[in-house]
Amino acid sequence: MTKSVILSNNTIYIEDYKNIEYFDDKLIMVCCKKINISIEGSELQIDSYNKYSLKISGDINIIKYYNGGNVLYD
Amino acid sequence: MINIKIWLQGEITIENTGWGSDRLLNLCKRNDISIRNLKTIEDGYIFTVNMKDYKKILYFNNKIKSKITILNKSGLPNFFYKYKKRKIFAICILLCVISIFIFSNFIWKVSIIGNDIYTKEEIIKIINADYIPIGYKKSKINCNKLEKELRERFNNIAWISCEIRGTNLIVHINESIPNDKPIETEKPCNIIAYKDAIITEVITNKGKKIVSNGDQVKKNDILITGVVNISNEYDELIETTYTTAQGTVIGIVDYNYNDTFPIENTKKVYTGKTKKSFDLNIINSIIHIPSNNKLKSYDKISTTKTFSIFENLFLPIGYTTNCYKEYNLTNIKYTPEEAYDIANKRLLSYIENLKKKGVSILENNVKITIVNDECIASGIIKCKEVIGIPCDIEVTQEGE
Repeated sequence: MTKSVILSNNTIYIEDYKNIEYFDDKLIMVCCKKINISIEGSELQIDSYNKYSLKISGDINIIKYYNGGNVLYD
Repeated sequence: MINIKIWLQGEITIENTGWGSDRLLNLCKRNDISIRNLKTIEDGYIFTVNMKDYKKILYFNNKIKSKITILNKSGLPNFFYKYKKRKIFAICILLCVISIFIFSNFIWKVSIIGNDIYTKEEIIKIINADYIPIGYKKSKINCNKLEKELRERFNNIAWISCEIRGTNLIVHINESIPNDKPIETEKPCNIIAYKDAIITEVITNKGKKIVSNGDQVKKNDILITGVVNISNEYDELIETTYTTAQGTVIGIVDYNYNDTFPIENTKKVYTGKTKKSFDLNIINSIIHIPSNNKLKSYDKISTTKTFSIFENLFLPIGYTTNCYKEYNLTNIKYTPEEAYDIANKRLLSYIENLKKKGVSILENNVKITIVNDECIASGIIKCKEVIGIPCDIEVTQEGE
């Protein structure tokens, strides 16, 4: 099951994801099994990226969770 | 903070640009290649991978044909690669470290603290010759046993304690016991006399007093015992317990003073000429460096310095500086007044040394006479001092 943890120092950690849909220094879109996560901010970078987990850091402003086209919460 | 595991494996920072750079990232993920510090740039990405994964990335890139540029390499493999032509240097550093580690298991220096009657060189020579030679293994040294043996060897010394710090054997000497700082120990012990004396005062803090004022005691007699016998109402022994006897025992001690020197003597007159030479000391060998020393009569003063890494981690390497001071001998003959004056000065110096050790002088019965061209000063100096020192009790356990 997808798990995302927001750590204190402007870092988000996502486990059990499918792939990265889009990635640049202002927007990262992550496709997970049942939901999609969209992270908006500035100077975004992926600290670690492997088959099972993903750690994103930078100046994060908005995190949105989507199910299909609907925003679940942000 | 450097991740030690990653540093040991080595890591490489790559710039990946061109068409297919996204595909390369997906291939890395699918093939379980861990990527760190992934950043976007104008037409690609910069990221860091482990050195062992770089070859896989090159293999994938053969299919994708994107451009890969190495920006930085770091870690232990890179360090070895950079200094691959400095193998001998690296081997020497490793040998040095191993040598220091091995040498730190032996004693390379003996230090003496608190001596006065005996010189440091004298004590060190006796210890090196009969007990602990230089280069002795630290694990074989029993400090308690060494302390007992040295106390028996040096009669005029009240207390000796030994400790090992690094590669330095430090011997602490108390030639007399100061009134305000009695020697303390935590093990069960008796207080014994370290000299022949007549008891004048016994203050018992712990243990049982054996002697009283006015008693004459000999060296090693028990003054305060730490052995406590518990008896029942019929005076039958029930139990024996051992405690640390504590107390101060003061007595009158006789010091036999003897000093003789001839009236007609030769005296050294130093010319002011000096020469120097050096010797190298490696483990127990001395290598003399030849020098041009043509002095006929000279005093040789040698100072040895042993190299050390820290305060007490001495190495088996050092050097000795020999200083030669030339002198000429002249014959002199003292008048009776001059001879008496010299003998008196020596006696006063001896008494001053006793006073510095906390000894009180009660009587000075030393007489100075001139007999057959010799000036003789002899007699007894009566002193009052602390004479009790702790002596460990050897507890033997009896089987049931």
